[in-house]
Amino acid sequence: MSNIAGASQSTATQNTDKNFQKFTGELCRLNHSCKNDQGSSKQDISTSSKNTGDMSFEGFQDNVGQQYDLPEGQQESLVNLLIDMLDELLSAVMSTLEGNRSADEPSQTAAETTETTDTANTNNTETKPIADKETSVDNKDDLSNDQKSTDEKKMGACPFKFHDEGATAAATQQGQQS
Amino acid sequence: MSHVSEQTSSFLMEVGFKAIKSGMYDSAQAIFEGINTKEQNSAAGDIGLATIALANGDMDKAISYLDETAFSDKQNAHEAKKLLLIASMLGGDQAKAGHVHQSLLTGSSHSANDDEKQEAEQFFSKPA
Repeated sequence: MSNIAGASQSTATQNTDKNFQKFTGELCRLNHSCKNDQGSSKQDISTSSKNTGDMSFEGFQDNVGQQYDLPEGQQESLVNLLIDMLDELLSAVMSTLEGNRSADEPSQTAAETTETTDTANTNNTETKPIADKETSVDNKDDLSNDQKSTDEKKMGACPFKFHDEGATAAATQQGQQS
Repeated sequence: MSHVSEQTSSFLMEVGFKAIKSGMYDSAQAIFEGINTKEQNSAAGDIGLATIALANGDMDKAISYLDETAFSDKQNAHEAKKLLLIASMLGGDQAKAGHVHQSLLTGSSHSANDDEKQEAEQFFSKPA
């Protein structure tokens, strides 16, 4: 879980699409390889050296194994790619949830301050929490929209190209691990 | 669910995914259902539940969790859409995969035209 819990949420945000591209690229490549050359796809997915340990994706592994007629080592490799992609995707979800919490916390703190200082000056303290909260939420939305825009640009540029790049990167990474 | 509600949702997402990776699907299910209740403006719970279905190889169930939320105004609908694309591809519904792919390219509210759908469907298609 270290990928998700990892300290570097900003890194996860920057690379929010990397493993998604790898995984969809691999699926597309499998589909196209099935269409064009039954044998090549099986050779293209290198056997993963990653230890799946106690991971439990047997149902998924059976599904892709039957669908693409892959040997077990390559099924495990695809499972690892899926898990990496899910790590990445859930990191983005967790960042958003954390952002919501951060947006709530200043307003709560401010509300508490409001209560304690209300006796001193009611008019001045009433508007501050709302302004703080609104600023925080606006910033969060901007970031979210920026990221979404980046994702869409990457995909929109050329799905064929990014899938090829993703697959190449995946093959390179797996080659380095083995 | 009182214990669940006291935890932050992001922490629960982490625990839920860890439970999936350990094969504790029932525990993960309870966690993500709790998140769904707690975070009704977020796709987080549905994404978690769909992840369990994916891990089980049940693509139809994964799609059923994501179909609505991916095209909603909820937070992280974009991520739900990504997972829906994966589930559609693996579930053999290439027409849906093409539609979702085009929607990812062009934004949530855009409906792909026939040419775009055909191109995407062709790209994702696999011969019978």
